[in-house]
Amino acid sequence: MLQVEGLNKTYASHGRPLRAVKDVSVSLRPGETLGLVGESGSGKTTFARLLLGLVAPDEGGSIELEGKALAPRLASRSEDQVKAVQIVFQNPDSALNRSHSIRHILSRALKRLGGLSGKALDARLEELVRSVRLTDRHLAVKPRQLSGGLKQRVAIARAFAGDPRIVVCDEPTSALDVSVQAAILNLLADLQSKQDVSYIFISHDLGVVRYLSDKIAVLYLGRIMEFGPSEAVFSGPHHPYTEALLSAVPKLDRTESSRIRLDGEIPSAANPPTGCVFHTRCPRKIGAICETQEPELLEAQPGHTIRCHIPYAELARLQKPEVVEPA
Amino acid sequence: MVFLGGQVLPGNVGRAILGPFADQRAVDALNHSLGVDRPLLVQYGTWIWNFLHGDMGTSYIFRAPVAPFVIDALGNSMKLALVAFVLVVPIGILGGVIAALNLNRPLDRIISLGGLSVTVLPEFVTGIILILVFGVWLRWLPIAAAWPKGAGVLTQLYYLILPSLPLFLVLFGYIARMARSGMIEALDSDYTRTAVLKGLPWRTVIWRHVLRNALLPTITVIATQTGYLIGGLVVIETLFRYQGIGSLIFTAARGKDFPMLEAGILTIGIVYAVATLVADFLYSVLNPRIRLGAEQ
Amino acid sequence: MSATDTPAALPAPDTARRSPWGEVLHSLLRSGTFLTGLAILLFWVVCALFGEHFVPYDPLDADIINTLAPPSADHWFGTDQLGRDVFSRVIVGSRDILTVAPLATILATIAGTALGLVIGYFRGIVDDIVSRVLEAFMAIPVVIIALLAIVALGTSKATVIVVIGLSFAPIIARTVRSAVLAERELDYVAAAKLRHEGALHTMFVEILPNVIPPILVETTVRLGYAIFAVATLSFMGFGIQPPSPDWGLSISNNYGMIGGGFWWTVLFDAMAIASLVIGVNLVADGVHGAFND
Ligand SMILES: Nc1ncnc2c1ncn2[C@@H]1O[C@H](COP(=O)(O)OP(=O)(O)OP(=O)(O)O)[C@@H](O)[C@H]1O
Ligand code: SF4
Ligand SMILES: [Mg+2]
Repeated sequence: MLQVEGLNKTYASHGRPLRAVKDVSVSLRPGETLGLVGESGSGKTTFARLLLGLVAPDEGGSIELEGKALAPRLASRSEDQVKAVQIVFQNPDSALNRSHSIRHILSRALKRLGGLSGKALDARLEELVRSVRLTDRHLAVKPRQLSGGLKQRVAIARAFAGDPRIVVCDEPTSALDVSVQAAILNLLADLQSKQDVSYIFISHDLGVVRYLSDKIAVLYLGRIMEFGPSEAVFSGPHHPYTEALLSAVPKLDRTESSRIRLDGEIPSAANPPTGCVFHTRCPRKIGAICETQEPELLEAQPGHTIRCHIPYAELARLQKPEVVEPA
Repeated sequence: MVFLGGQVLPGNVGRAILGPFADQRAVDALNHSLGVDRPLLVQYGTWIWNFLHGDMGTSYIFRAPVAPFVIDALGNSMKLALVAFVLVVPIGILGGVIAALNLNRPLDRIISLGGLSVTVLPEFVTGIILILVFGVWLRWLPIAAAWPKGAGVLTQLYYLILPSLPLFLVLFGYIARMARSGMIEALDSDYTRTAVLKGLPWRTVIWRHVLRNALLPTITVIATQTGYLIGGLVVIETLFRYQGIGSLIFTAARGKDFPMLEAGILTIGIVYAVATLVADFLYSVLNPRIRLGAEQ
Repeated sequence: MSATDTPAALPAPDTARRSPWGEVLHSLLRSGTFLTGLAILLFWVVCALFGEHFVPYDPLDADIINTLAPPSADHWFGTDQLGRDVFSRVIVGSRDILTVAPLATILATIAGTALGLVIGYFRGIVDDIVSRVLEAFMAIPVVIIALLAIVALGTSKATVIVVIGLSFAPIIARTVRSAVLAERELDYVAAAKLRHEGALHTMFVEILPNVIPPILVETTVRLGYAIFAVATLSFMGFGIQPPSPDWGLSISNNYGMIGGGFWWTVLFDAMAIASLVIGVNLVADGVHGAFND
């Protein structure tokens, strides 16, 4: 249903080009969830904004939704296309206009995205509010009178106002208390099971992504390092970067696990390392080739691609002992 | 910095200032059947060209070349401004430093609040009150800045004190405020702490800081308040019947003496541009941070 | 909160919390600066509105046998060169300046807000050009602009309002612009784009309510300067015109004679201007403080 081909975005930062997103291709079917993981600055938000049309991508590349091309700029997309792709922003304080009441915020969305007015709008508003488990009491107030979790529910309701095909969730729980994170994730899962909506779920937390995603794309400095079905990415063999990220996920017993850690700072996207962009921090680096030649994104197994000079079989061999190692 | 530089380019300011009276020139040209056939732009061109060569046109009222009047008036205004500056810079800095050293004590309150109050008052209001106090009641100072012909420097100075006081008061507020905050920051800095720990006498520490932290704000004040100061001159020179550039413009405006008006305004524009550039330059020389920023 | 949360488990909205405006009002009412300034301002507003009903004399009535009389029980502030009662003139003299200056400020606020919203929202070349022009424009003293405009357009209250209003508009525009530049990066603006909202809706319905505080602060500050400017222009003869008992105008008519010791003809007007200007500045200071803590 969604088909993204060779998307690029170059920002100008202090007069120098900064490739925030480089040659990203992904695909998504109805009702599926694509998890997008990567450290801060890896280009996750930029990718989301490209998809939404909030920033214009570089020349070339394409986005197709249900077989029709999506214009790079939001202004040139049709009403239906605008409705179809919505977002739940990371920070509900920034996402909800602090001067407007919740009723105003949601009604406006229903009017513009749902094309509703009058009685129909009120009825749908009622339904929408209930679907995110808010009540009438929450409508009359301004955002600042609600807790972070409640605000995020409003933001979710707004994203669903026009029956979207795709909802981008940009770290929707990272600004929230740990205690309400699970409830928000459950709400999202619940909404998905009732409507045939696809998610693009952005997080730097692999644990969260694993809980929701059907497919996972791992980003590093704007490049896809690994892309594939959730199970394949998690069970391995995986890209050395994914391996490192996984080793940073706390295990259930809460002991600091794993041998592999990510050392050092993430390099600047304005000045990425030569060759494989991960070579400055890669624990599995195999030599000069990693520093001089950028590896291709190769299909390891059907639907599972990895960008690394180490052949797939070799990766499997290297990572095998770690998998059986007790935490 | 770059922005300020672009903004004060003489051509820019000149155009900005000349813009508003394109109409008058047209009307004026019609009235006097002068250069009606020439396009406005050419008129400006010739006029500016002549201006830069010292020919500022002929006054309608005085039926004499404008240039001597303007030059004379500019000299007088500069005397006035100079007296005000010479008085206000040390006293303003001193006031700010005293306020900072007595932070949040009554003396600080008085200096800060007093400085702020006089800054917001129109110059002619402080001027009138000063005239009443020093000129009319105490009879210490002459109430008009018209000294006898051929008076010496000291006599002129004596006549200039009262007119310079309103300017002094306006600037005092700004300079004292900036010196105060600069000083507070300096007193709080690591440098001061180490210097005091090293046993340097207070006096030395303070003086070093005063020079560094009070000079920069003063220059900023000059840079940002020049335009305002010129506006103030128009008022004060009128109030004290002083033959400066401000009263020249005022008289020309009232008498619709356009060549005089234009020459006066362009002169002010140039003075403004030069003052801003000089202040900008001094600032960048004195402030290493800005200099670094400019190189990037 | 667990996966089984129900509406009952969700926290209710916190309706007890004071709104930001309530917060501001609360701190205003506890600010001595603001209250002092407000008292002064209100005093002059009352004088401007009702002064003519309670002053002892008609401020325009000349009394040729009783000119330049010093203050006395009959004439608290003395009389001027036409024998008019200075006290009555000072009280009623607040009217014109308190009409012209606020109107100029309102004009400046409306024009400046619209301009600031547009250049802040669209940025780009429009912003660059307009900002440059505004900076250059702001460098010219208001008195000079006014002088030129009034020579060109003639003296009238409307001219004064327009001249001061338009010369202050860029300053307000600059304030609004920088507030808008920060606002437009917030996600609610992106959300508006994702609803295909027009630029006008985004600027005026989404962004404007959030930039009201800096506008209010700047407007009160500008009111102080507008009073300053109107008084100065009147003093220069380019502002409020005779026979108004306006303060600046009165000073302009009488200061020529202070060498003769007739201090009462100018002192009270000067004090009136000073008190009004300081009063408005105190209010502005209080408003600024209330919005910034
Ligand atoms: N408007 C912009 N102009 C210039 N550079 C930008 C801009 N927006 C983002 N960048 C740069 O692009 C890169 C990717 O940023 P992006 O916000 O997409 O990362 P992210 O993966 O969402 O990070 P985070 O986890 O912190 O949200 C970063 O290096 C960032 O500095
Ligand atoms: S290409 Fe080399 S540096 Fe890059 S991930 Fe593979 S092994 Fe590591
Ligand atoms: Mg992000």
